[in-house]
Amino acid sequence: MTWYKIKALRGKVSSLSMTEPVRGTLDAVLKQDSDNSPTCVYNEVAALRLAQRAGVPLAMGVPSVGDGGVYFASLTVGGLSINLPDVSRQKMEGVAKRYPNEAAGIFVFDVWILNDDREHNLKANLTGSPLHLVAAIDHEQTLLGRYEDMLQSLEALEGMEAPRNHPLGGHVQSHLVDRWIALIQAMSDDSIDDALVLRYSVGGVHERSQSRLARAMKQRRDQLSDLVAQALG
Amino acid sequence: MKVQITELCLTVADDLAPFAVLVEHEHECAWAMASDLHPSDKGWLGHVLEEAERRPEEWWVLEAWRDWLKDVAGGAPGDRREAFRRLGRSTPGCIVRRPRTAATRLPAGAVASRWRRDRLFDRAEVIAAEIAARLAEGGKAFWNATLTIGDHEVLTGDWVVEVLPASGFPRAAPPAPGANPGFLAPDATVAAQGLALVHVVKAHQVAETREAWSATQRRLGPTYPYAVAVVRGWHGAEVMDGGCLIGERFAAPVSLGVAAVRSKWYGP
Repeated sequence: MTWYKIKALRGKVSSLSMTEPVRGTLDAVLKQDSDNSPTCVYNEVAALRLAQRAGVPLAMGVPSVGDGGVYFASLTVGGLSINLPDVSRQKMEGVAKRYPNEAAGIFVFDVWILNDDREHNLKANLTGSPLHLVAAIDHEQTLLGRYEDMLQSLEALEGMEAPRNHPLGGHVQSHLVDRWIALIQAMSDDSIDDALVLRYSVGGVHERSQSRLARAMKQRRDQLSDLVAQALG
Repeated sequence: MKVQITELCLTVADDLAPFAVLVEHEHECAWAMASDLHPSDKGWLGHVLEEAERRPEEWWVLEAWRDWLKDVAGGAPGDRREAFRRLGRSTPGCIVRRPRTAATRLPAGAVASRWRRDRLFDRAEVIAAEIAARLAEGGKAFWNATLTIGDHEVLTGDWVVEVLPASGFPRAAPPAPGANPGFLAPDATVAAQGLALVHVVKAHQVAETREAWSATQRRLGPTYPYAVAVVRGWHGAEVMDGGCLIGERFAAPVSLGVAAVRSKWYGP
């Protein structure tokens, strides 16, 4: 688990409340569908919902609505007054050493959701500070966003395509990888359906596409060992 | 030649506080941060974190930024652009300023290093450092100069110059701006590279200061690089002869200092 950054604290919700809750705002990055990423919001929501079921450390976020339409509000990780930079490819080995379990989880999860875009999309504390902080961010180019065309992405998922050059691939420990494969394979069909089939459209992603994605993800779950072997090969 | 300068800034309300720079020239890329990242060296905090309204106890995050800069500088130009693009998207509070091009005769590393000095230290301190370094080049410890103090009051007297050790000696934080730091004993020297402290004493303290300086020099030996300029009087002082300085604690020189700045910071 990681902490999230509070941007501002406001007044108390109620002076009568026993728990004395306070109103506040959290720092977030708002992401929206665009021509370059037409399934961005759905992908972010879907990836997070899948990850939460398996316990993979993705940065938290919430679907949001504003004047500009639908957004995914990705919360800024760390609770720090200066945000951490993204983890570069060169530092991925350090992530796998300091956070071996989380690194293995992120790697296996990325194989499952066909994420070939992990470089610079990870926040982790690798300094001398003891703060435990590791969280995967940015999943717009996974699932239905793997390719520019949603149908092509679905075909890639159904065709058992795996990430080709994952930056954590050469650094994760095999027994932890096996553990995460087992965790994801323990997810039920219903759980995957609940995560992905939202019963309402998000941007241009309608229920039919969501259901097709859920079917593909179940197939990929069943073949996850092979997919991981392919990604490690 | 032309270099491309990209600054990384922390946001401060509607303003920006630069904390790191990447300087690119063809395939070369140098970087610098406005920080020494040393827990005992708090001088940078005022320039970076507090200026940017951040919590100083979170200085360690800049370690991660140092590593990031190192990696990005070592990558291909296209990868750098991509890293900047992603950073702007995923790291609120950090802005990559649009790159600017500058003409210089200096290599990228020197441009980055000067950017760092400019950010890290008070400009007057850096200028004073340049002067002290120049005066000390010939091993000239004492010299006679005429000073103009305040409203053209002229003072003629002896000055003492020491060159601070660049490394290998204990560190101490620079004194607060406006404070008279007292004579700098060797165990309280400011070890930042190139920084010399221009030290002001009262007229009656000159003899005592000279004595202390001589004792220090005897103890450390003739090869010891030395460096504190001691100015008589606690007033704005301007050296008319030999080229030194005006100002209070740290001088803002008009002659030698300006030349030093122009030649050493921006190229001839």
